[in-house]
Amino acid sequence: MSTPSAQQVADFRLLHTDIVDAVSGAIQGKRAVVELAVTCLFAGGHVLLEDVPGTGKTTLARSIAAALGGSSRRIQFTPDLLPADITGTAVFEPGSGEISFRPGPVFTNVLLADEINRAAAKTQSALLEVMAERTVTVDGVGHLVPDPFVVIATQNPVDLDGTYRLPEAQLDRFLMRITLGYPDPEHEIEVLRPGSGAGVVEAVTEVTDPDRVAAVAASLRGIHVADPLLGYVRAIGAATRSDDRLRLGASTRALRGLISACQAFAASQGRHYVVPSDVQRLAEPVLAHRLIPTRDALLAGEDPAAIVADLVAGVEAPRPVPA
Amino acid sequence: MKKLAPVIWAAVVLLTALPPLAAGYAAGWAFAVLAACAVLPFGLAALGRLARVPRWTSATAGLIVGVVVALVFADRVDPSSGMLPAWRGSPGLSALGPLIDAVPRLLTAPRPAPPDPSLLVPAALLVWIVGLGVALAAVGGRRAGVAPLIGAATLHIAGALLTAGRGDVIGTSALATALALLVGWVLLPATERPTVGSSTRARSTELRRRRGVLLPALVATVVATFALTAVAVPTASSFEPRTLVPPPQLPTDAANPVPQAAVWAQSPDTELFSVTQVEGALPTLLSAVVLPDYTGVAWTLDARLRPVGVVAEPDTAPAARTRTATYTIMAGQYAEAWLPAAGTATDVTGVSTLLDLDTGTLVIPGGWPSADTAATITSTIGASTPAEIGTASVPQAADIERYLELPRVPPVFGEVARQITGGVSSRWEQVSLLADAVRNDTLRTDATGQERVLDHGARSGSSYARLWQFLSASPEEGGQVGTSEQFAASFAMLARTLGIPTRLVVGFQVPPADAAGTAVVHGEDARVWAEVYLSRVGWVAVDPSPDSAISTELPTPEAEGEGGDDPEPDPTEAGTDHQVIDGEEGEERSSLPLVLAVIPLVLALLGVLGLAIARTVRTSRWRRAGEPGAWAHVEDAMRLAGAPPPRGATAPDLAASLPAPVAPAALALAERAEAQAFAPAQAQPADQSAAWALSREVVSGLRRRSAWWRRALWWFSPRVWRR
Repeated sequence: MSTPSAQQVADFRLLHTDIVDAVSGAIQGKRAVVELAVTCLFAGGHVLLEDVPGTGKTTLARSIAAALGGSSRRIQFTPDLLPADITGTAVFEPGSGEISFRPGPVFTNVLLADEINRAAAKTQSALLEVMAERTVTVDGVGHLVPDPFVVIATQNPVDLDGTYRLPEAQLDRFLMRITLGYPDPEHEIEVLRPGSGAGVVEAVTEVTDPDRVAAVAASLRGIHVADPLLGYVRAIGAATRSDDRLRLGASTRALRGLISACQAFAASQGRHYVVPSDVQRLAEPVLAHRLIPTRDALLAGEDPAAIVADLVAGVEAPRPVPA
Repeated sequence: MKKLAPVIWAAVVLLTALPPLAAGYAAGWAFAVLAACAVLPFGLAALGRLARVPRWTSATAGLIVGVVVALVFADRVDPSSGMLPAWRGSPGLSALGPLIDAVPRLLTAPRPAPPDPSLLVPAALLVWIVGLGVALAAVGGRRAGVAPLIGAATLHIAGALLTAGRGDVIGTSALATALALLVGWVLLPATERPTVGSSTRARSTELRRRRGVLLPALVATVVATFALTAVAVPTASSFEPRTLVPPPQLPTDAANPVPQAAVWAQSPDTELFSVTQVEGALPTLLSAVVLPDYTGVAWTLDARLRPVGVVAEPDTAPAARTRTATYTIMAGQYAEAWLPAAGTATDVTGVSTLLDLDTGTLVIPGGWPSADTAATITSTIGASTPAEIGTASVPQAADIERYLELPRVPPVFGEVARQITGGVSSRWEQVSLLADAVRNDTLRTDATGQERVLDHGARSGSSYARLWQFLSASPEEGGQVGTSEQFAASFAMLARTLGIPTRLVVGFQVPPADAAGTAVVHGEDARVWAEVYLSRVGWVAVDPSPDSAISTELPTPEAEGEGGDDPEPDPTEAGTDHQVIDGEEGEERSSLPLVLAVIPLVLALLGVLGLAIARTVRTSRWRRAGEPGAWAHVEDAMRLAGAPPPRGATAPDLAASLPAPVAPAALALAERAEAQAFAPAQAQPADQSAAWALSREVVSGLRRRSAWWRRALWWFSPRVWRR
């Protein structure tokens, strides 16, 4: 895979900035989170937005979909939602007398899975295949979803009544879990001001199209990752596996995801190579949601995000010194 | 095993501290006894613990056992002899008396102390008590405590006092003790293990941290203390406890031997005693009494008697060139308390003797036990060459006042002496001229020039008046005739007027020995002669009497290669000559601590130099390594400035954490270095000199902001290698 040229990197950075600028119109004061989410999309991963209600998860998801252009669908997950409601189903066509496939909302560029943890486990699982392989198999026939295909899911960690916890396999398919948090005071006042553009998704302009996004995402595969950084990522993964506060450490897929995310992030910073700071910046959003703390750690109030930060601080970071 | 290890360790530490103490004893078994005294208390303590007896009971029992055994071996003075002072009359003190006497007895005994069990009592009792204390502290404990350190230090101090620091001259024993202590402290647990509990981890890390600081500090302190002790104690001017103990002032009931010499000489054929060569050639002269003090009326000796072998310096420096001779004196008719010997006796066996160190006079306090008693004497005898004697000078008058004293001397003697030696400046020539003038009748108006008459029956006495009569009166008036006393005393007195230190000696000329090396000394061999003290040569015998065997004539120095006339030196004498240049030995001894002090200094300097070189190599390597090298240089500087990079920190993080004035440059450098290190290889090399300039800027900024001592250590601190 050839390294992208400086021009390509500059183009990407411009595109990235455009998207972030567009989305930031609707989500004020959360530029870092928006950058992260957009980076995740370019890395070809799915985003899980997790926070309490009313912090702008859905707005962010819709804004990104709007800025990316292309088709976007939204599914409001409820307990009675069925797998076929997502993937689509085979229906008998009385006119032609054939059974034809009617695609579900999953056949789109950006899929908004709102309140994903309100659906039953089997419904959540319907997303497993399409998120990993980008195909939907119905009645033994595989149907490709369009490229790019991105799932932006939201979930609410507080309100546990009537929710189904996402299984580990499902969580592992999200490249990043992003927490928005409340805006800082001055931005919150700005949001509260009547007539502000906050939350107005309709005002988000379409700055690109799916084909361009797909092409740029493919070129990002060539962002250079030096051997010491591969070793660094592996060391962080190994640390999560051997830490006695964690029951389940980071999978190899998780580490691959981390590398991809780092590549996209490096490019968004205008670099054609990854540096250790990228890894440190992305380790928590990429890894934290995949780790399962032990019962003792949970009781002690340990948070996976804090554990990841702790582990990253403890792993020797590669520094640019001669061997 | 865990219980046993600290006990064994404590015992080993004590054993390493014993050699200096044992070196204070001549007997080889002293160490074995002391070692037993150090180890047995451990058995006692273990026994007490097995029997579940409180520690104070074990301590009391051990103490009682030690004191009782010591009392058995200590010498006891008969209370009825009247030698004990009144205050020792109470029953308790008279029972413990032998122990009270033991310490002064040991401290006034020769060094090393003779193999007498009673002299070993104080040391053995001390070791026993120390061993008991350490054993009670160590047995039952699992920790490596400080009790062995205290015990070992006590024993080392005792050993240094007993041997005046010569028991452990190069500090081997002190070093062994220090090593043994360190081994124990490092290998054995220093504190009780923390109990299992919620705070175990915190406590153990706390302990580890504290041990990490305390242990090296403790180690350094112990090693430094022992090294200092080893360097400081064995100096030539080390503390000698015996000088603090007043010597026994035994009444010397021996008669003034000067008239006695005449008495002996008057019965020339009486066999007095025999002297047998053991090692080294027989001395030619044996002095019975040395009389250094002249009162104007008589020559006397104010003896300060001490046991032979006590370490102290005589009031006149010994000869630079000496030999040792060992010989046995078999008392026959000779029953005087004075033991004839040559030079300075270093060892006397066979009879119990005391020595007046300044004169070398030996006294047998109790007299000769029987006629066939044999005393074996080892002496250091001056062996200066005639050339050395001929060119020697005399010391400053202030140093030898005792040997120049002439109370109320009539000025005529000074005039006569100056007249005899007129114009001659060589001290030995003056001596020679004076001796001739005393030997020959030249000092009166109608002098014959003949030898004066030696008559053992002549009038005794050495007052100014008698000497003036001897020298200047006519034979009819009782002049020109005298015993050897008058010859020697006249010479000694005249020499003193010229500032030549002299003393009188009563002794014997040793006649030629038979094949077995035995010479029989007869009455006719008894003489009184004078001795002259010369710098670096020591005391030289001068006998101005007519039939003297001692010549004051020095052989004329011959041209090299023409030694034909000289008698071949006696091979046995040459073989046993033990020539020591004392001054050099002294220098050697005093330079040892200097060497010991200089070695660490040199090693430290070499270490600093090595570090500086290694640092220079490292810096030049960084300089060649482009941007990553420049960044590594900055990281080194961070370590030197006391802010080592944390493990997880990236280069830009580190750069941002630096003080504001240098942070921008550091950040720029970090980004360039990361681009160099993590980007794919570039075709054109980056501008390395610019990166190094950035690095220099950051490093000098960091150095300026560091504490003064960090700046001082900056160029050779090994801190850069710390991970």
